[in-house]
Amino acid sequence: MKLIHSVWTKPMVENRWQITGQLKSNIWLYAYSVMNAKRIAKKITLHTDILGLKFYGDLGYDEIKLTLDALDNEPSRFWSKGKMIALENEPIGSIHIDGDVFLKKPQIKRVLDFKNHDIIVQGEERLGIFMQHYFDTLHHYPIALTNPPEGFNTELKHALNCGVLGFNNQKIKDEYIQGYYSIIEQLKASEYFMNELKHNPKFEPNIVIEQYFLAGYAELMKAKIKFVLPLNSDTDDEIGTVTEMNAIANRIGYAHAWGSTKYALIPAIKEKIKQQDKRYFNRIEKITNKLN
Amino acid sequence: MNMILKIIIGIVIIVILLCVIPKKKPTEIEEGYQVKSDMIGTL
Repeated sequence: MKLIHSVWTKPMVENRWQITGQLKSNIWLYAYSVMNAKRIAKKITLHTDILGLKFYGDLGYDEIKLTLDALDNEPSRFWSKGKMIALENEPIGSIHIDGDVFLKKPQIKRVLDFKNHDIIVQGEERLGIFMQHYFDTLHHYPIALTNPPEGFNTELKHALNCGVLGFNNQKIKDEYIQGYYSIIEQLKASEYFMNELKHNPKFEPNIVIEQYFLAGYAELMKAKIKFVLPLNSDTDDEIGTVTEMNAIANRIGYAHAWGSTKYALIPAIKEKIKQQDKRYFNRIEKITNKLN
Repeated sequence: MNMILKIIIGIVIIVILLCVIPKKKPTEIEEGYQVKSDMIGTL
Protein backbone atom coordinates (compact mmCIF):
# COMPACT_ATOMS: atom_id res chain seq x y z
CA MET A 1 0.00 0.00 0.00
CA LYS A 2 1.36 3.38 -1.02
CA LEU A 3 0.34 6.45 0.97
CA ILE A 4 0.69 10.04 -0.18
CA HIS A 5 0.89 13.32 1.69
CA SER A 6 0.80 16.74 0.06
CA VAL A 7 2.12 20.02 1.45
CA TRP A 8 1.45 23.13 -0.61
CA THR A 9 2.98 25.88 1.51
CA LYS A 10 1.42 28.95 -0.15
CA PRO A 11 -2.00 28.64 1.60
CA MET A 12 -0.21 28.23 4.94
CA VAL A 13 2.09 31.19 4.36
CA GLU A 14 -0.90 33.30 3.27
CA ASN A 15 -2.71 32.47 6.53
CA ARG A 16 -5.54 30.26 5.25
CA TRP A 17 -8.73 30.73 7.32
CA GLN A 18 -7.03 33.88 8.74
CA ILE A 19 -4.87 31.72 11.01
CA THR A 20 -1.22 32.65 11.37
CA GLY A 21 1.75 30.32 11.98
CA GLN A 22 0.34 27.39 10.01
CA LEU A 23 3.66 26.42 8.41
CA LYS A 24 4.95 25.61 11.90
CA SER A 25 1.77 24.15 13.45
CA ASN A 26 1.21 21.82 10.52
CA ILE A 27 4.69 20.30 10.95
CA TRP A 28 3.50 18.68 14.19
CA LEU A 29 0.29 17.38 12.60
CA TYR A 30 2.14 15.97 9.58
CA ALA A 31 4.86 14.49 11.80
CA TYR A 32 2.30 12.60 13.90
CA SER A 33 0.56 11.48 10.72
CA VAL A 34 3.87 10.22 9.19
CA MET A 35 4.88 8.52 12.43
CA ASN A 36 1.63 6.52 12.47
CA ALA A 37 1.51 5.88 8.71
CA LYS A 38 5.02 4.43 8.59
CA ARG A 39 3.94 1.61 10.89
CA ILE A 40 1.41 0.32 8.37
CA ALA A 41 2.49 1.43 4.88
CA LYS A 42 5.30 0.12 2.72
CA LYS A 43 5.98 3.58 1.39
CA ILE A 44 4.91 7.14 2.10
CA THR A 45 5.55 9.81 -0.50
CA LEU A 46 5.42 13.57 -0.01
CA HIS A 47 4.38 15.93 -2.79
CA THR A 48 5.45 19.46 -1.99
CA ASP A 49 7.18 22.65 -3.16
CA ILE A 50 10.65 23.99 -2.43
CA LEU A 51 9.64 25.66 0.86
CA GLY A 52 7.82 22.50 1.90
CA LEU A 53 10.97 20.50 1.23
CA LYS A 54 12.89 22.76 3.59
CA PHE A 55 10.54 22.32 6.56
CA TYR A 56 8.71 19.03 5.86
CA GLY A 57 11.43 17.12 4.02
CA ASP A 58 12.90 15.59 7.17
CA LEU A 59 9.74 14.12 8.71
CA GLY A 60 10.63 10.59 7.57
CA TYR A 61 9.19 10.27 4.06
CA ASP A 62 10.46 7.48 1.81
CA GLU A 63 10.20 9.67 -1.28
CA ILE A 64 9.72 13.40 -1.94
CA LYS A 65 8.51 14.93 -5.20
CA LEU A 66 8.55 18.67 -5.93
CA THR A 67 5.37 18.59 -8.01
CA LEU A 68 3.70 21.49 -6.20
CA ASP A 69 6.15 24.15 -7.36
CA ALA A 70 3.82 24.22 -10.37
CA LEU A 71 1.22 25.93 -8.16
CA ASP A 72 3.23 29.12 -7.56
CA ASN A 73 0.77 31.31 -9.47
CA GLU A 74 -2.41 29.59 -8.27
CA PRO A 75 -4.68 31.51 -5.83
CA SER A 76 -4.16 29.94 -2.42
CA ARG A 77 -7.92 29.92 -1.70
CA PHE A 78 -8.04 26.76 -3.85
CA TRP A 79 -5.77 25.02 -1.35
CA SER A 80 -7.00 21.48 -2.08
CA LYS A 81 -5.36 21.61 -5.52
CA GLY A 82 -2.10 20.33 -3.98
CA LYS A 83 -3.87 17.06 -3.20
CA MET A 84 -5.13 16.71 -6.78
CA ILE A 85 -1.70 17.35 -8.31
CA ALA A 86 -0.24 14.76 -5.94
CA LEU A 87 -2.84 12.14 -6.87
CA GLU A 88 -2.52 12.92 -10.57
CA ASN A 89 1.19 12.17 -10.35
CA GLU A 90 0.81 8.83 -8.59
CA PRO A 91 -0.42 5.49 -9.99
CA ILE A 92 -3.93 4.23 -9.30
CA GLY A 93 -4.17 2.32 -6.05
CA SER A 94 -2.23 5.04 -4.18
CA ILE A 95 -4.06 6.63 -1.26
CA HIS A 96 -3.75 10.28 -0.30
CA ILE A 97 -4.23 11.01 3.39
CA ASP A 98 -4.53 14.52 4.77
CA GLY A 99 -1.75 15.69 7.10
CA ASP A 100 -4.26 15.65 9.95
CA VAL A 101 -5.30 12.01 9.43
CA PHE A 102 -3.79 9.52 11.86
CA LEU A 103 -3.77 5.77 11.14
CA LYS A 104 -3.10 4.39 14.57
CA LYS A 105 -3.79 0.65 14.58
CA PRO A 106 -2.47 -2.17 12.31
CA GLN A 107 -6.04 -3.29 11.49
CA ILE A 108 -6.55 -0.08 9.49
CA LYS A 109 -4.46 -1.76 6.75
CA ARG A 110 -7.36 -4.09 6.02
CA VAL A 111 -9.77 -1.15 5.92
CA LEU A 112 -7.58 0.69 3.41
CA ASP A 113 -7.50 -2.29 1.04
CA PHE A 114 -9.84 -1.13 -1.74
CA LYS A 115 -8.83 -3.36 -4.63
CA ASN A 116 -12.46 -4.31 -5.36
CA HIS A 117 -13.62 -0.69 -5.45
CA ASP A 118 -13.23 2.30 -7.78
CA ILE A 119 -12.72 4.92 -5.07
CA ILE A 120 -11.81 5.06 -1.38
CA VAL A 121 -12.89 8.00 0.80
CA GLN A 122 -13.17 8.63 4.51
CA GLY A 123 -16.96 8.59 4.51
CA GLU A 124 -20.22 10.16 3.51
CA GLU A 125 -21.26 13.59 4.74
CA ARG A 126 -25.02 13.84 4.75
CA LEU A 127 -26.44 15.59 7.81
CA GLY A 128 -26.70 19.30 8.59
CA ILE A 129 -23.65 19.39 10.84
CA PHE A 130 -21.52 18.52 7.82
CA MET A 131 -23.59 19.97 4.98
CA GLN A 132 -24.61 23.43 6.21
CA HIS A 133 -21.71 25.31 4.62
CA TYR A 134 -22.30 23.50 1.31
CA PHE A 135 -25.96 24.52 1.28
CA ASP A 136 -25.11 28.10 2.34
CA THR A 137 -22.71 28.61 -0.59
CA LEU A 138 -23.95 26.37 -3.42
CA HIS A 139 -25.96 29.18 -5.03
CA HIS A 140 -22.71 30.86 -6.14
CA TYR A 141 -21.70 28.01 -8.43
CA PRO A 142 -24.40 28.08 -11.13
CA ILE A 143 -23.67 31.82 -11.50
CA ALA A 144 -19.91 31.31 -11.83
CA LEU A 145 -19.67 28.04 -13.78
CA THR A 146 -20.22 28.59 -17.49
CA ASN A 147 -19.68 24.92 -18.35
CA PRO A 148 -19.93 22.71 -15.24
CA PRO A 149 -18.37 19.27 -15.64
CA GLU A 150 -20.59 16.20 -15.83
CA GLY A 151 -21.56 15.16 -12.33
CA PHE A 152 -21.53 18.63 -10.80
CA ASN A 153 -25.06 18.46 -9.43
CA THR A 154 -26.28 21.18 -7.06
CA GLU A 155 -29.40 19.13 -6.23
CA LEU A 156 -27.28 16.60 -4.37
CA LYS A 157 -27.77 16.38 -0.60
CA HIS A 158 -24.52 14.68 0.36
CA ALA A 159 -20.75 14.87 -0.13
CA LEU A 160 -17.79 12.52 0.26
CA ASN A 161 -15.21 13.41 2.88
CA CYS A 162 -11.75 13.22 1.25
CA GLY A 163 -9.55 13.03 4.37
CA VAL A 164 -8.67 9.73 2.70
CA LEU A 165 -8.86 9.65 -1.10
CA GLY A 166 -7.71 7.08 -3.65
CA PHE A 167 -8.71 5.74 -7.06
CA ASN A 168 -8.55 2.27 -8.54
CA ASN A 169 -10.21 3.14 -11.82
CA GLN A 170 -8.09 5.17 -14.24
CA LYS A 171 -11.02 6.59 -16.20
CA ILE A 172 -12.87 7.74 -13.08
CA LYS A 173 -9.68 9.19 -11.64
CA ASP A 174 -8.75 11.09 -14.81
CA GLU A 175 -12.23 12.46 -15.45
CA TYR A 176 -12.76 13.51 -11.84
CA ILE A 177 -9.39 15.31 -11.63
CA GLN A 178 -9.94 17.03 -15.01
CA GLY A 179 -13.44 18.07 -13.83
CA TYR A 180 -11.93 19.41 -10.60
CA TYR A 181 -9.35 21.46 -12.55
CA SER A 182 -12.02 22.69 -14.93
CA ILE A 183 -14.20 23.97 -12.04
CA ILE A 184 -11.27 25.92 -10.61
CA GLU A 185 -10.40 27.46 -13.99
CA GLN A 186 -14.01 28.59 -14.48
CA LEU A 187 -14.23 30.00 -10.95
CA LYS A 188 -10.97 31.90 -11.46
CA ALA A 189 -12.41 33.37 -14.65
CA SER A 190 -15.56 34.51 -12.84
CA GLU A 191 -15.22 38.05 -11.52
CA TYR A 192 -18.38 37.47 -9.46
CA PHE A 193 -16.97 34.38 -7.73
CA MET A 194 -13.51 35.80 -7.08
CA ASN A 195 -15.09 38.93 -5.58
CA GLU A 196 -17.21 36.76 -3.28
CA LEU A 197 -14.05 34.98 -2.15
CA LYS A 198 -12.23 38.26 -1.66
CA HIS A 199 -14.96 39.87 0.43
CA ASN A 200 -15.84 36.83 2.48
CA PRO A 201 -12.80 35.10 4.03
CA LYS A 202 -15.10 32.52 5.67
CA PHE A 203 -16.40 31.33 2.29
CA GLU A 204 -14.72 27.93 1.80
CA PRO A 205 -14.93 26.71 -1.82
CA ASN A 206 -12.74 23.58 -1.54
CA ILE A 207 -15.34 21.36 0.09
CA VAL A 208 -17.68 21.89 -2.86
CA ILE A 209 -15.06 21.61 -5.61
CA GLU A 210 -13.44 18.54 -4.10
CA GLN A 211 -15.94 16.64 -1.94
CA TYR A 212 -19.34 17.64 -3.29
CA PHE A 213 -18.26 17.29 -6.92
CA LEU A 214 -16.76 13.87 -6.15
CA ALA A 215 -20.09 12.70 -4.69
CA GLY A 216 -21.97 13.87 -7.78
CA TYR A 217 -19.44 12.46 -10.23
CA ALA A 218 -19.24 9.11 -8.41
CA GLU A 219 -23.04 8.86 -8.46
CA LEU A 220 -23.12 9.63 -12.20
CA MET A 221 -20.49 6.97 -12.90
CA LYS A 222 -22.13 4.47 -10.50
CA ALA A 223 -18.69 4.11 -8.93
CA LYS A 224 -18.13 1.47 -6.29
CA ILE A 225 -16.97 3.36 -3.21
CA LYS A 226 -15.15 2.04 -0.17
CA PHE A 227 -15.75 4.00 3.03
CA VAL A 228 -13.17 4.01 5.80
CA LEU A 229 -16.02 4.88 8.16
CA PRO A 230 -19.09 3.11 6.76
CA LEU A 231 -22.27 4.14 8.57
CA ASN A 232 -24.97 1.54 9.09
CA SER A 233 -27.69 3.87 10.26
CA ASP A 234 -29.64 6.05 7.87
CA THR A 235 -31.19 8.30 10.46
CA ASP A 236 -31.47 12.07 10.80
CA ASP A 237 -30.16 11.86 14.33
CA GLU A 238 -26.97 13.92 14.15
CA ILE A 239 -25.58 13.04 17.56
CA GLY A 240 -26.32 9.33 17.02
CA THR A 241 -24.61 9.37 13.61
CA VAL A 242 -21.57 11.16 14.94
CA THR A 243 -21.39 8.74 17.88
CA GLU A 244 -21.52 5.79 15.45
CA MET A 245 -18.84 7.36 13.23
CA ASN A 246 -16.67 7.96 16.24
CA ALA A 247 -17.10 4.41 17.52
CA ILE A 248 -16.00 2.98 14.14
CA ALA A 249 -13.02 5.35 14.04
CA ASN A 250 -11.88 4.30 17.50
CA ARG A 251 -12.36 0.60 16.74
CA ILE A 252 -10.22 0.64 13.59
CA GLY A 253 -7.69 3.18 14.91
CA TYR A 254 -8.56 6.13 12.69
CA ALA A 255 -8.54 9.80 13.61
CA HIS A 256 -9.03 12.97 11.59
CA ALA A 257 -8.56 16.41 13.12
CA TRP A 258 -10.16 18.39 10.32
CA GLY A 259 -11.01 22.06 9.99
CA SER A 260 -9.43 25.09 11.58
CA THR A 261 -9.71 23.99 15.22
CA LYS A 262 -7.15 21.22 14.67
CA TYR A 263 -4.44 23.68 15.67
CA ALA A 264 -5.77 23.59 19.24
CA LEU A 265 -4.61 19.96 19.37
CA ILE A 266 -0.92 20.74 18.83
CA PRO A 267 0.14 20.55 22.53
CA ALA A 268 -1.52 17.11 22.84
CA ILE A 269 0.05 15.91 19.58
CA LYS A 270 3.50 17.03 20.74
CA GLU A 271 2.98 15.09 23.94
CA LYS A 272 1.93 11.96 21.99
CA ILE A 273 5.04 12.13 19.77
CA LYS A 274 7.26 12.72 22.79
CA GLN A 275 5.81 9.69 24.60
CA GLN A 276 6.15 7.39 21.59
CA ASP A 277 9.51 8.45 20.12
CA LYS A 278 11.66 10.93 22.00
CA ARG A 279 14.35 11.09 19.30
CA TYR A 280 11.77 11.85 16.60
CA PHE A 281 10.24 14.49 18.88
CA ASN A 282 13.63 16.19 19.31
CA ARG A 283 14.17 16.12 15.54
CA ILE A 284 10.80 17.76 14.85
CA GLU A 285 11.31 20.32 17.58
CA LYS A 286 14.62 21.30 15.99
CA ILE A 287 12.86 21.81 12.64
CA THR A 288 10.04 23.90 14.15
CA ASN A 289 12.50 26.02 16.13
CA LYS A 290 13.86 27.30 12.82
CA LEU A 291 10.47 28.97 12.33
CA ASN A 292 10.50 30.91 15.64
CA MET B 1 -16.17 48.97 59.89
CA ASN B 2 -19.07 46.61 59.26
CA MET B 3 -18.74 47.24 55.47
CA ILE B 4 -15.01 46.45 55.45
CA LEU B 5 -15.70 43.19 57.31
CA LYS B 6 -18.29 42.20 54.67
CA ILE B 7 -15.82 42.91 51.82
CA ILE B 8 -13.11 40.81 53.53
CA ILE B 9 -15.54 37.92 54.08
CA GLY B 10 -16.60 38.20 50.39
CA ILE B 11 -13.00 38.01 49.18
CA VAL B 12 -12.29 34.99 51.43
CA ILE B 13 -15.37 33.18 50.01
CA ILE B 14 -14.28 33.89 46.39
CA VAL B 15 -10.73 32.63 47.10
CA ILE B 16 -12.10 29.43 48.70
CA LEU B 17 -14.43 28.85 45.73
CA LEU B 18 -11.59 29.33 43.23
CA CYS B 19 -9.53 26.74 45.08
CA VAL B 20 -12.38 24.22 45.30
CA ILE B 21 -13.68 24.37 41.67
CA PRO B 22 -11.82 21.63 39.68
CA LYS B 23 -9.79 22.86 36.71
CA LYS B 24 -9.50 21.12 33.37
CA LYS B 25 -5.97 20.24 32.26
CA PRO B 26 -4.98 22.53 29.37
CA THR B 27 -3.83 19.71 27.06
CA GLU B 28 -6.71 17.36 27.78
CA ILE B 29 -8.45 16.11 24.63
CA GLU B 30 -12.15 15.45 24.71
CA GLU B 31 -12.76 11.73 24.53
CA GLY B 32 -14.45 11.08 21.23
CA TYR B 33 -16.02 13.29 18.66
CA GLN B 34 -18.25 16.11 19.83
CA VAL B 35 -20.75 17.68 17.44
CA LYS B 36 -19.20 21.11 17.83
CA SER B 37 -15.60 19.91 17.64
CA ASP B 38 -13.66 19.07 14.48
CA MET B 39 -12.28 15.71 15.52
CA ILE B 40 -13.21 12.21 14.42
CA GLY B 41 -11.77 9.50 16.62
CA THR B 42 -9.17 10.26 19.25
CA LEU B 43 -5.48 11.09 19.11
